[in-house]
Amino acid sequence: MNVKEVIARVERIESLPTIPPILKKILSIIEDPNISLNKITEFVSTDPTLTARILKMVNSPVYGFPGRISSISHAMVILGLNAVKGLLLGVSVFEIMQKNMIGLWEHSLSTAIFARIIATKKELQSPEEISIAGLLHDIGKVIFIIAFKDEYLKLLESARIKKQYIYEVERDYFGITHAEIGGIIAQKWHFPSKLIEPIMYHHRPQVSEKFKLETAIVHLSNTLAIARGIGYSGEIFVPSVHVYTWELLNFREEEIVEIFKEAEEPLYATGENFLSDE
Amino acid sequence: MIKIPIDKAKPGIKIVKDIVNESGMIVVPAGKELTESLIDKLSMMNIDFIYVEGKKELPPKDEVLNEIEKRFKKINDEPTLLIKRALEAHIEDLYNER
Repeated sequence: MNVKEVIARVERIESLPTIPPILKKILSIIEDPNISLNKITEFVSTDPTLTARILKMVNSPVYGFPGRISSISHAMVILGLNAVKGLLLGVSVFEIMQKNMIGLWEHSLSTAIFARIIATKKELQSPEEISIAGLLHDIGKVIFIIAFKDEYLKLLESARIKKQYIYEVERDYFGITHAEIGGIIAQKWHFPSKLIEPIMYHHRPQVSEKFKLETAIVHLSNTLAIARGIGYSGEIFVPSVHVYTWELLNFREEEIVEIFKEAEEPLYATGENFLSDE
Repeated sequence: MIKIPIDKAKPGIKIVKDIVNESGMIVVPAGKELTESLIDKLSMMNIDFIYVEGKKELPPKDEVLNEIEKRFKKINDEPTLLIKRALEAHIEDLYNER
Protein backbone atom coordinates (compact mmCIF):
# COMPACT_ATOMS: atom_id res chain seq x y z
CA MET A 1 0.00 0.00 0.00
CA ASN A 2 1.15 3.53 -0.72
CA VAL A 3 2.23 5.19 2.51
CA LYS A 4 0.92 8.61 1.42
CA GLU A 5 -2.52 7.16 0.88
CA VAL A 6 -2.38 5.41 4.23
CA ILE A 7 -1.52 8.67 6.00
CA ALA A 8 -4.15 10.61 4.04
CA ARG A 9 -6.85 8.15 5.10
CA VAL A 10 -5.72 8.21 8.71
CA GLU A 11 -5.72 12.01 8.73
CA ARG A 12 -9.37 12.19 7.85
CA ILE A 13 -10.32 9.60 10.41
CA GLU A 14 -13.17 11.73 11.78
CA SER A 15 -15.01 11.49 8.49
CA LEU A 16 -14.68 7.72 8.08
CA PRO A 17 -17.98 5.87 8.42
CA THR A 18 -16.35 3.32 10.72
CA ILE A 19 -15.69 5.74 13.55
CA PRO A 20 -18.08 5.47 16.54
CA PRO A 21 -20.12 8.70 17.09
CA ILE A 22 -18.97 9.21 20.68
CA LEU A 23 -15.32 8.99 19.63
CA LYS A 24 -15.97 11.48 16.85
CA LYS A 25 -17.38 13.92 19.39
CA ILE A 26 -14.45 13.41 21.74
CA LEU A 27 -11.96 13.94 18.93
CA SER A 28 -13.52 17.27 18.04
CA ILE A 29 -12.94 18.33 21.64
CA ILE A 30 -9.41 16.98 21.81
CA GLU A 31 -8.41 18.47 18.50
CA ASP A 32 -9.40 22.01 19.40
CA PRO A 33 -6.11 23.69 20.42
CA ASN A 34 -7.96 26.42 22.31
CA ILE A 35 -10.09 24.15 24.41
CA SER A 36 -10.15 25.20 28.06
CA LEU A 37 -10.10 23.11 31.18
CA ASN A 38 -13.64 24.27 31.92
CA LYS A 39 -14.94 23.22 28.52
CA ILE A 40 -13.54 19.71 28.86
CA THR A 41 -14.83 19.38 32.40
CA GLU A 42 -18.25 20.48 31.23
CA PHE A 43 -18.23 18.06 28.31
CA VAL A 44 -17.13 15.07 30.36
CA SER A 45 -19.55 15.87 33.18
CA THR A 46 -22.56 15.63 30.84
CA ASP A 47 -21.65 12.03 30.03
CA PRO A 48 -22.01 9.70 33.04
CA THR A 49 -20.19 6.79 31.40
CA LEU A 50 -17.18 8.92 30.52
CA THR A 51 -17.17 10.50 33.97
CA ALA A 52 -17.31 7.11 35.64
CA ARG A 53 -14.51 5.73 33.49
CA ILE A 54 -12.19 8.66 34.04
CA LEU A 55 -12.76 8.62 37.78
CA LYS A 56 -12.27 4.89 37.83
CA MET A 57 -8.97 5.27 36.00
CA VAL A 58 -7.59 8.04 38.19
CA ASN A 59 -8.60 6.15 41.32
CA SER A 60 -7.20 2.85 40.08
CA PRO A 61 -3.85 1.35 41.05
CA VAL A 62 -2.61 2.37 37.58
CA TYR A 63 -1.98 5.79 39.11
CA GLY A 64 -1.80 5.09 42.79
CA PHE A 65 -2.87 8.54 43.99
CA PRO A 66 -3.46 8.61 47.71
CA GLY A 67 -7.06 9.37 48.69
CA ARG A 68 -10.03 9.51 46.43
CA ILE A 69 -10.58 11.79 43.46
CA SER A 70 -14.32 12.18 43.30
CA SER A 71 -14.92 14.75 40.56
CA ILE A 72 -13.71 15.54 37.08
CA SER A 73 -12.68 19.03 38.12
CA HIS A 74 -10.54 17.56 40.90
CA ALA A 75 -8.95 15.16 38.40
CA MET A 76 -8.23 18.14 36.14
CA VAL A 77 -6.41 20.00 38.88
CA ILE A 78 -4.29 16.98 39.77
CA LEU A 79 -3.54 15.73 36.27
CA GLY A 80 -3.63 18.87 34.15
CA LEU A 81 -5.25 19.50 30.78
CA ASN A 82 -3.01 17.37 28.57
CA ALA A 83 -3.12 14.34 30.79
CA VAL A 84 -6.91 14.54 31.00
CA LYS A 85 -7.15 14.87 27.22
CA GLY A 86 -4.98 11.77 26.89
CA LEU A 87 -7.01 9.91 29.48
CA LEU A 88 -10.23 10.88 27.76
CA LEU A 89 -8.94 9.42 24.52
CA GLY A 90 -7.62 6.35 26.30
CA VAL A 91 -10.93 5.42 27.91
CA SER A 92 -12.96 6.22 24.80
CA VAL A 93 -11.12 3.73 22.57
CA PHE A 94 -11.81 0.99 25.10
CA GLU A 95 -14.83 -0.42 23.18
CA ILE A 96 -12.99 -0.49 19.88
CA MET A 97 -10.18 -2.41 21.53
CA GLN A 98 -12.56 -4.84 23.24
CA LYS A 99 -14.52 -5.47 20.08
CA ASN A 100 -11.65 -5.91 17.65
CA MET A 101 -8.48 -6.80 19.46
CA ILE A 102 -9.10 -8.51 22.76
CA GLY A 103 -6.24 -7.94 25.15
CA LEU A 104 -5.00 -4.67 23.67
CA TRP A 105 -6.66 -2.72 26.48
CA GLU A 106 -4.97 -4.90 29.11
CA HIS A 107 -1.65 -4.52 27.31
CA SER A 108 -2.12 -0.72 27.24
CA LEU A 109 -2.96 -0.63 30.94
CA SER A 110 0.00 -2.85 31.80
CA THR A 111 2.32 -0.56 29.86
CA ALA A 112 0.83 2.44 31.68
CA ILE A 113 1.50 0.75 35.03
CA PHE A 114 5.12 -0.09 34.20
CA ALA A 115 5.67 3.43 32.81
CA ARG A 116 4.40 5.03 36.02
CA ILE A 117 6.61 2.80 38.19
CA ILE A 118 9.75 3.43 36.10
CA ALA A 119 9.10 7.18 35.86
CA THR A 120 8.76 7.31 39.64
CA LYS A 121 12.01 5.34 40.06
CA LYS A 122 13.76 7.81 37.74
CA GLU A 123 12.24 10.69 39.73
CA LEU A 124 10.54 12.29 36.75
CA GLN A 125 8.32 15.21 37.55
CA SER A 126 5.00 13.86 36.36
CA PRO A 127 4.90 10.07 36.30
CA GLU A 128 1.17 10.32 35.47
CA GLU A 129 1.92 11.91 32.12
CA ILE A 130 4.41 9.19 31.20
CA SER A 131 1.85 6.69 32.31
CA ILE A 132 -0.68 8.19 29.90
CA ALA A 133 1.89 8.00 27.12
CA GLY A 134 2.09 4.31 28.06
CA LEU A 135 -1.69 3.97 27.95
CA LEU A 136 -1.78 5.55 24.50
CA HIS A 137 1.40 4.11 22.99
CA ASP A 138 -0.53 1.66 20.78
CA ILE A 139 -3.25 4.12 19.74
CA GLY A 140 -1.94 3.65 16.18
CA LYS A 141 -3.26 0.08 16.26
CA VAL A 142 -6.74 1.40 17.05
CA ILE A 143 -6.38 3.88 14.20
CA PHE A 144 -5.39 1.05 11.84
CA ILE A 145 -8.47 -0.87 13.02
CA ILE A 146 -10.77 2.10 12.36
CA ALA A 147 -9.24 2.94 8.99
CA PHE A 148 -8.26 -0.50 7.62
CA LYS A 149 -10.11 -3.03 9.73
CA ASP A 150 -10.12 -6.12 7.49
CA GLU A 151 -6.57 -5.63 6.29
CA TYR A 152 -5.28 -5.03 9.79
CA LEU A 153 -6.96 -8.05 11.36
CA LYS A 154 -5.46 -10.16 8.57
CA LEU A 155 -2.01 -8.71 9.28
CA LEU A 156 -2.31 -9.64 12.96
CA GLU A 157 -3.19 -13.17 11.98
CA SER A 158 -0.33 -13.40 9.50
CA ALA A 159 2.19 -12.04 12.04
CA ARG A 160 1.05 -14.79 14.37
CA ILE A 161 1.36 -17.55 11.77
CA LYS A 162 4.66 -16.36 10.33
CA LYS A 163 6.04 -15.63 13.82
CA GLN A 164 6.99 -12.10 12.89
CA TYR A 165 6.85 -8.89 14.89
CA ILE A 166 3.67 -6.96 14.12
CA TYR A 167 5.54 -3.70 13.46
CA GLU A 168 7.59 -5.43 10.76
CA VAL A 169 4.46 -6.80 9.12
CA GLU A 170 2.88 -3.32 9.27
CA ARG A 171 5.91 -1.73 7.66
CA ASP A 172 5.89 -4.28 4.85
CA TYR A 173 2.20 -3.80 4.16
CA PHE A 174 1.43 -0.13 4.95
CA GLY A 175 4.94 1.28 4.62
CA ILE A 176 4.53 2.67 8.11
CA THR A 177 4.07 1.25 11.63
CA HIS A 178 1.39 1.76 14.28
CA ALA A 179 3.91 3.77 16.30
CA GLU A 180 4.35 6.39 13.57
CA ILE A 181 0.64 6.41 12.78
CA GLY A 182 -0.06 7.00 16.47
CA GLY A 183 2.49 9.82 16.50
CA ILE A 184 0.99 11.47 13.40
CA ILE A 185 -2.49 11.35 14.84
CA ALA A 186 -1.29 12.63 18.22
CA GLN A 187 0.25 15.59 16.38
CA LYS A 188 -2.98 16.20 14.53
CA TRP A 189 -4.80 16.20 17.87
CA HIS A 190 -2.36 18.78 19.27
CA PHE A 191 -0.97 16.55 21.95
CA PRO A 192 2.20 17.89 23.60
CA SER A 193 5.56 16.54 22.36
CA LYS A 194 5.98 14.84 25.69
CA LEU A 195 3.14 12.51 24.63
CA ILE A 196 3.82 12.48 20.89
CA GLU A 197 7.45 11.37 21.06
CA PRO A 198 6.95 8.31 23.27
CA ILE A 199 4.04 7.20 21.05
CA MET A 200 5.84 7.90 17.77
CA TYR A 201 9.18 6.36 18.75
CA HIS A 202 8.31 3.54 21.11
CA HIS A 203 9.88 1.09 18.66
CA ARG A 204 12.79 3.39 17.73
CA PRO A 205 13.65 5.18 20.98
CA GLN A 206 17.05 6.24 19.66
CA VAL A 207 15.53 8.79 17.26
CA SER A 208 13.49 10.70 19.85
CA GLU A 209 14.50 14.34 20.09
CA LYS A 210 13.34 16.28 23.10
CA PHE A 211 11.87 13.59 25.31
CA LYS A 212 14.46 10.84 25.21
CA LEU A 213 13.94 9.67 28.76
CA GLU A 214 10.14 9.58 28.45
CA THR A 215 10.40 7.69 25.16
CA ALA A 216 12.91 5.24 26.62
CA ILE A 217 10.57 4.58 29.55
CA VAL A 218 7.60 3.79 27.29
CA HIS A 219 9.81 1.61 25.07
CA LEU A 220 11.00 -0.40 28.07
CA SER A 221 7.49 -0.52 29.60
CA ASN A 222 6.08 -2.00 26.41
CA THR A 223 8.74 -4.70 26.49
CA LEU A 224 8.13 -5.46 30.17
CA ALA A 225 4.37 -5.64 29.61
CA ILE A 226 4.79 -8.13 26.76
CA ALA A 227 7.38 -10.06 28.78
CA ARG A 228 5.03 -10.34 31.78
CA GLY A 229 2.43 -11.72 29.40
CA ILE A 230 -0.63 -9.75 30.46
CA GLY A 231 -2.93 -8.72 27.63
CA TYR A 232 -2.31 -9.01 23.92
CA SER A 233 -0.41 -6.39 21.95
CA GLY A 234 -0.34 -8.25 18.66
CA GLU A 235 3.14 -9.50 19.49
CA ILE A 236 3.71 -13.15 20.25
CA PHE A 237 7.39 -12.53 20.94
CA VAL A 238 9.10 -10.09 23.25
CA PRO A 239 10.90 -7.45 21.17
CA SER A 240 14.47 -6.51 22.10
CA VAL A 241 15.13 -3.50 24.27
CA HIS A 242 17.10 -1.00 22.26
CA VAL A 243 20.65 -0.68 23.52
CA TYR A 244 20.26 3.11 23.56
CA THR A 245 17.35 2.85 26.00
CA TRP A 246 19.27 0.42 28.10
CA GLU A 247 22.24 2.76 28.44
CA LEU A 248 20.02 5.74 29.13
CA LEU A 249 18.00 4.08 31.90
CA ASN A 250 20.91 2.07 33.23
CA PHE A 251 18.98 -0.42 35.37
CA ARG A 252 20.57 -3.28 37.25
CA GLU A 253 18.98 -6.72 37.22
CA GLU A 254 17.74 -6.33 40.83
CA GLU A 255 16.01 -3.10 39.87
CA ILE A 256 14.13 -4.81 37.06
CA VAL A 257 13.05 -7.52 39.52
CA GLU A 258 11.79 -4.74 41.81
CA ILE A 259 9.85 -3.15 38.96
CA PHE A 260 8.14 -6.47 38.19
CA LYS A 261 7.39 -6.92 41.86
CA GLU A 262 5.94 -3.45 42.28
CA ALA A 263 3.76 -3.89 39.19
CA GLU A 264 2.26 -7.19 40.33
CA GLU A 265 -0.52 -5.83 42.52
CA PRO A 266 -1.74 -3.03 40.21
CA LEU A 267 -1.52 -5.43 37.25
CA TYR A 268 -3.69 -7.90 39.02
CA ALA A 269 -6.10 -5.37 40.48
CA THR A 270 -6.76 -3.81 37.09
CA GLY A 271 -7.32 -7.26 35.62
CA GLU A 272 -9.66 -8.21 32.85
CA ASN A 273 -12.80 -6.75 34.32
CA PHE A 274 -11.44 -3.27 34.65
CA LEU A 275 -14.04 -1.32 32.72
CA SER A 276 -16.43 -4.07 31.77
CA ASP A 277 -18.14 -4.23 35.14
CA GLU A 278 -19.37 -0.66 35.26
CA MET B 1 -6.19 -8.40 47.64
CA ILE B 2 -8.78 -10.02 45.42
CA LYS B 3 -11.85 -8.65 43.72
CA ILE B 4 -15.02 -10.65 44.22
CA PRO B 5 -18.63 -10.17 43.13
CA ILE B 6 -20.95 -9.29 46.02
CA ASP B 7 -22.86 -12.58 45.73
CA LYS B 8 -19.65 -14.45 46.60
CA ALA B 9 -19.12 -12.36 49.76
CA LYS B 10 -19.25 -14.12 53.14
CA PRO B 11 -19.39 -12.78 56.71
CA GLY B 12 -15.99 -12.49 58.36
CA ILE B 13 -14.04 -11.53 55.23
CA LYS B 14 -12.07 -8.30 55.58
CA ILE B 15 -12.61 -5.38 53.20
CA VAL B 16 -9.27 -4.03 51.95
CA LYS B 17 -10.40 -1.15 49.77
CA ASP B 18 -12.99 1.52 50.58
CA ILE B 19 -16.39 0.69 49.13
CA VAL B 20 -17.84 3.76 47.47
CA ASN B 21 -21.30 4.41 46.13
CA GLU B 22 -22.21 5.95 42.78
CA SER B 23 -21.70 9.50 44.00
CA GLY B 24 -18.24 8.71 45.32
CA MET B 25 -19.09 8.59 49.04
CA ILE B 26 -17.33 5.95 51.10
CA VAL B 27 -20.01 3.59 52.43
CA VAL B 28 -17.69 1.03 54.00
CA PRO B 29 -14.09 1.95 54.84
CA ALA B 30 -11.20 -0.43 54.23
CA GLY B 31 -10.41 -2.60 57.24
CA LYS B 32 -13.98 -3.45 58.19
CA GLU B 33 -15.14 -7.05 58.34
CA LEU B 34 -18.18 -8.14 56.36
CA THR B 35 -21.33 -9.13 58.26
CA GLU B 36 -24.54 -10.72 57.03
CA SER B 37 -26.47 -7.44 57.28
CA LEU B 38 -23.68 -5.44 55.63
CA ILE B 39 -23.68 -7.82 52.65
CA ASP B 40 -27.45 -7.40 52.33
CA LYS B 41 -27.12 -3.62 52.41
CA LEU B 42 -24.37 -3.60 49.79
CA SER B 43 -26.42 -5.79 47.44
CA MET B 44 -29.32 -3.37 47.78
CA MET B 45 -27.06 -0.41 46.98
CA ASN B 46 -26.09 -1.84 43.58
CA ILE B 47 -22.51 -2.46 44.64
CA ASP B 48 -21.42 -5.32 42.38
CA PHE B 49 -17.79 -5.94 43.27
CA ILE B 50 -15.70 -5.53 46.40
CA TYR B 51 -12.01 -5.93 47.20
CA VAL B 52 -11.26 -8.31 50.03
CA GLU B 53 -8.31 -10.02 51.68
CA GLY B 54 -7.02 -13.07 49.90
CA LYS B 55 -4.70 -14.31 47.22
CA LYS B 56 -5.54 -14.88 43.65
CA GLU B 57 -5.10 -18.32 42.20
CA LEU B 58 -1.95 -18.60 40.16
CA PRO B 59 -1.45 -20.93 37.21
CA PRO B 60 1.16 -23.68 37.72
CA LYS B 61 4.66 -22.21 37.94
CA ASP B 62 6.14 -24.51 35.30
CA GLU B 63 3.50 -23.39 32.86
CA VAL B 64 4.30 -19.70 33.51
CA LEU B 65 8.06 -20.25 33.10
CA ASN B 66 7.45 -22.27 29.98
CA GLU B 67 5.40 -19.46 28.43
CA ILE B 68 8.16 -16.97 29.27
CA GLU B 69 10.66 -19.22 27.55
CA LYS B 70 8.49 -19.22 24.42
CA ARG B 71 7.93 -15.45 24.42
CA PHE B 72 11.68 -14.78 24.61
CA LYS B 73 12.50 -17.19 21.81
CA LYS B 74 13.75 -14.49 19.43
CA ILE B 75 15.95 -12.78 22.01
CA ASN B 76 19.73 -13.10 22.05
CA ASP B 77 20.90 -9.64 23.17
CA GLU B 78 22.23 -9.20 26.70
CA PRO B 79 19.91 -6.40 27.99
CA THR B 80 16.73 -8.26 26.99
CA LEU B 81 18.13 -11.53 28.37
CA LEU B 82 18.69 -9.67 31.63
CA ILE B 83 14.99 -8.78 31.64
CA LYS B 84 14.19 -12.45 31.15
CA ARG B 85 16.36 -13.44 34.12
CA ALA B 86 14.78 -10.70 36.25
CA LEU B 87 11.30 -11.88 35.28
CA GLU B 88 12.13 -15.49 36.11
CA ALA B 89 13.52 -14.42 39.48
CA HIS B 90 10.34 -12.43 40.09
CA ILE B 91 8.14 -15.41 39.22
CA GLU B 92 10.17 -17.63 41.60
CA ASP B 93 9.68 -15.07 44.39
CA LEU B 94 5.98 -14.85 43.64
CA TYR B 95 5.53 -18.60 44.11
CA ASN B 96 7.88 -18.83 47.09
CA GLU B 97 5.86 -16.25 49.00
CA ARG B 98 2.96 -18.62 49.38
